Amino acid sequence: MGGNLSKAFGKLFGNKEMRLLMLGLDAAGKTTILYKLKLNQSVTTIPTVGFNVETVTYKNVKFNVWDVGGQDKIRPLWRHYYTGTQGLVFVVDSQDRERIDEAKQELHRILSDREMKECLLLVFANKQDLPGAMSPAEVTEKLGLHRMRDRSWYVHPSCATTGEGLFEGLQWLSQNVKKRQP
Amino acid sequence: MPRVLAMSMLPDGAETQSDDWTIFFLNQTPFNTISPVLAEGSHGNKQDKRELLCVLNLVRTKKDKTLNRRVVHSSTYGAKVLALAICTRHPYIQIFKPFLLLALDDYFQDPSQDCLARLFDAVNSMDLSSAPRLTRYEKLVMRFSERKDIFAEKFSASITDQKHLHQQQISFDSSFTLGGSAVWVGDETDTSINRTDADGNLSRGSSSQVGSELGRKSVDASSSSSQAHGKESGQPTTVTHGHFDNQLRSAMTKDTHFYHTTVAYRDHQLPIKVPLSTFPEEVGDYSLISLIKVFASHQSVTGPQHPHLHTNGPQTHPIIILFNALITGKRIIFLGHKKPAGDVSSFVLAACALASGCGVVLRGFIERAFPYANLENRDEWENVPAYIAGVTNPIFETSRAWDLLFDISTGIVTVSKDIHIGYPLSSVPFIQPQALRSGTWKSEAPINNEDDGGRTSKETKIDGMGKLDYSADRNFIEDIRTAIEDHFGENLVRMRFTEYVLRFVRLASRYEEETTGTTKIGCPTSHFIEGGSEHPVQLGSGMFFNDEASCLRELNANAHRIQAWRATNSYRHCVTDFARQRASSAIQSIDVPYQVLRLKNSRNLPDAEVSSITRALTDNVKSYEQVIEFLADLVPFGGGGLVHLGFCLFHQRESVRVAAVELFNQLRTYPVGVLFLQTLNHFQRYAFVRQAHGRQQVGLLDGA
Repeated sequence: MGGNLSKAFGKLFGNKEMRLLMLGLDAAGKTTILYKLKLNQSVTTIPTVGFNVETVTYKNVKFNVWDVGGQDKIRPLWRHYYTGTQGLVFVVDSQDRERIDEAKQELHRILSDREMKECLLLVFANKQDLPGAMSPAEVTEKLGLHRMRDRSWYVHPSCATTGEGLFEGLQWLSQNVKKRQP
Repeated sequence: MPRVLAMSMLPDGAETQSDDWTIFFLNQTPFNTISPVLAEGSHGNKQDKRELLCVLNLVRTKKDKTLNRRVVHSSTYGAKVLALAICTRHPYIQIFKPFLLLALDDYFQDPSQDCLARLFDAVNSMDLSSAPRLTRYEKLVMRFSERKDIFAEKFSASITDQKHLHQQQISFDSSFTLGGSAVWVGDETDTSINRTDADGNLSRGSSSQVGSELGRKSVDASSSSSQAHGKESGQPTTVTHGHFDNQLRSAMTKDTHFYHTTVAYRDHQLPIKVPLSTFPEEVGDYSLISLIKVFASHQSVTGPQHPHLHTNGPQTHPIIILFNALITGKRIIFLGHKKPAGDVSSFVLAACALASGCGVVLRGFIERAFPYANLENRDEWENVPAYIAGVTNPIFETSRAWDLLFDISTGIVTVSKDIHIGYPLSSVPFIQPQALRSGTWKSEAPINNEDDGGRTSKETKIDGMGKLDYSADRNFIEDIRTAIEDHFGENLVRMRFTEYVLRFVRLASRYEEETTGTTKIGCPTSHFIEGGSEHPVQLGSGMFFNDEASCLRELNANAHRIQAWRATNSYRHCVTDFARQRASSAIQSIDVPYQVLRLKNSRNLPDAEVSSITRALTDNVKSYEQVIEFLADLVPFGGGGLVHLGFCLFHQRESVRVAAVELFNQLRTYPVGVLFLQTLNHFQRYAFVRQAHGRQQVGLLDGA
């Protein structure tokens, strides 16, 4: 009952909830982003086995963020998290030119799933602080985003350790999320 | 298959726990069936269902700052996560924990195959060949006894003290092959007078005794006992210590509920305690108490009500809901987000134990349990009917593939909103008062029988659930709650659940009988008929109720869950098991628990019936197998062990007293019987010794 009441208030004050799924190759910085958003701290992370999930509130929007481990062995499990996802946050290590093509393949595989047809795409071109990092434009090009017609997507530069660019990404998501079904 | 193992060994969130245990099974379903290369001994009979294997797994994360994740792109940056598992047929997997802890430490220091080889050799060098093997009834007797020396006589070979060994060997012979009945009491006397001498004499003497003389011998011993008692009137502890007891106490002070051994692992001698009374449905060191403590309030149950589950309407306690869900074959998930996988595993194992009556009564739960389950193979285990799974990933909360979700972090129980779609209600036959099998209440006529009957029928017409004030479950849970608050141990709680499930099966048997005319899971209901010229005495059997009203109330309140249970695998197992037990039972003609309940609960039990009960027991409880089965039947149901039979020692009819003394004398023949007689209170013990002595005096006179 308490839940219903707060939902009602939420509608009154324009509170929104949004379910985000954060994916990307291993060591792209997903967990660091999650805990920077959640705790505003740069935590030392170790490879995620499985997942982390946290709720982050930004400007009246409650983001339910699922961060799922990116090592190749556990990528087949990503599909289990698709149902109900409103926004995909795809994190790219902008310095890792060797694997950008692998990232592209994974991204396209995710988006081709039926469950992900409706969802928004936010790409963080992460690790901008490192020398030789690809620019957002370069990442956009290498990921082949320009050919995507039916989807709203947005690429934003970020630096997870300092937090630069993260909230701008969330801002875009909250503005573009569809007024949607419960 | 390697992938299945790897994923089960590396639980979700392993990197957030420094240590975690997971438990899972192999050979349950096609996806986790392993090839016979690993499962030695199964070659040749491929079509046979492979034996269930238990896997205990330790996973450990060691952070390593020297591995900088920005520099190294590999799976080892930042930390090392290693897991090591032992796979075994033994359900008591907890004994392997020390091995895994040590071996995984070794592996972190020096990762090599040698490390695995050492572990393999160590666990396989564990020698259980001299551990006593107990029968089902011996196990039951053991678990219901708190005595640390129960079945000490079975440990003969494992005692290292050679000097004692010899003597014990002799005394065992005397107890089993010769059945030297009164040695125990006699020994007690001798102990108080001249112990060493008597010990030697007795054992040597009895080992050369033969048949006919034995009776005489026991007479002597017993009479001397009561004499001693007379002399030392200040110490009324006559029938207390057995012969062995005295000898073994010096040699073996350890609890006989376990087999104690040591296993060498590198330079450690690891002490191992193997529990001896474990049943296959009880895996690991589960805790019913922690399960009950977490799911403690009916207010934290959400979702729709279903008659299979809510046997007390909205007030149904979550533990009862869990029991109902388990026996009626619902799909159950235990979720522990951010909890160690070991926690959810032990909840699943506790649930399996709970439903099976701690392994004693029902089975078929472990075979569909996935103590730690994850996304890998999700499609497979979610398709196992009535699965019981433990997960740490809240993604399962949003899926629709379960009927009940138990959140171990919050204690909230959620019933799926689709539960009525998955399990539509069929009409369940309710029992009307006039339809009850006639004659059942012959000797028990409550004063206001008609009133009770009328009221009950009205109530049952209203609804099968909720409206009935079904107090049995509520009282049971209240008892358990009090016991836990008063710090009674896990053992007592387990015993109470065994009783509860036993009672449920008896109830179901009665219901089955009322609705179909026969029962395949219990003794048919019958009542006591006094013997006459044309027919012999017939003892009652089946489910015992105090009066017709409570019988109707209970049957109808349980109708839904009983009907649903009858469609499940665990019911089918129960039918098989009952038939098998019946066929191999050492006490063929008597429904022992029924008789004990009669003695315990009946108001105005007719003398003729008491007399027949005690006589029948005396005639049918003689051999070791019969005594063990009798004690096993008696303990959980009687609540107070022998005490209800002990009252027969004071009965007004002599025939009852005589039969009771005879029965107790027969029990006293065996060490385990002696231990149980010692649980009687002083009055009863004294009454027994006095009367036994008196009878033997008479016997001596007659003989002379």
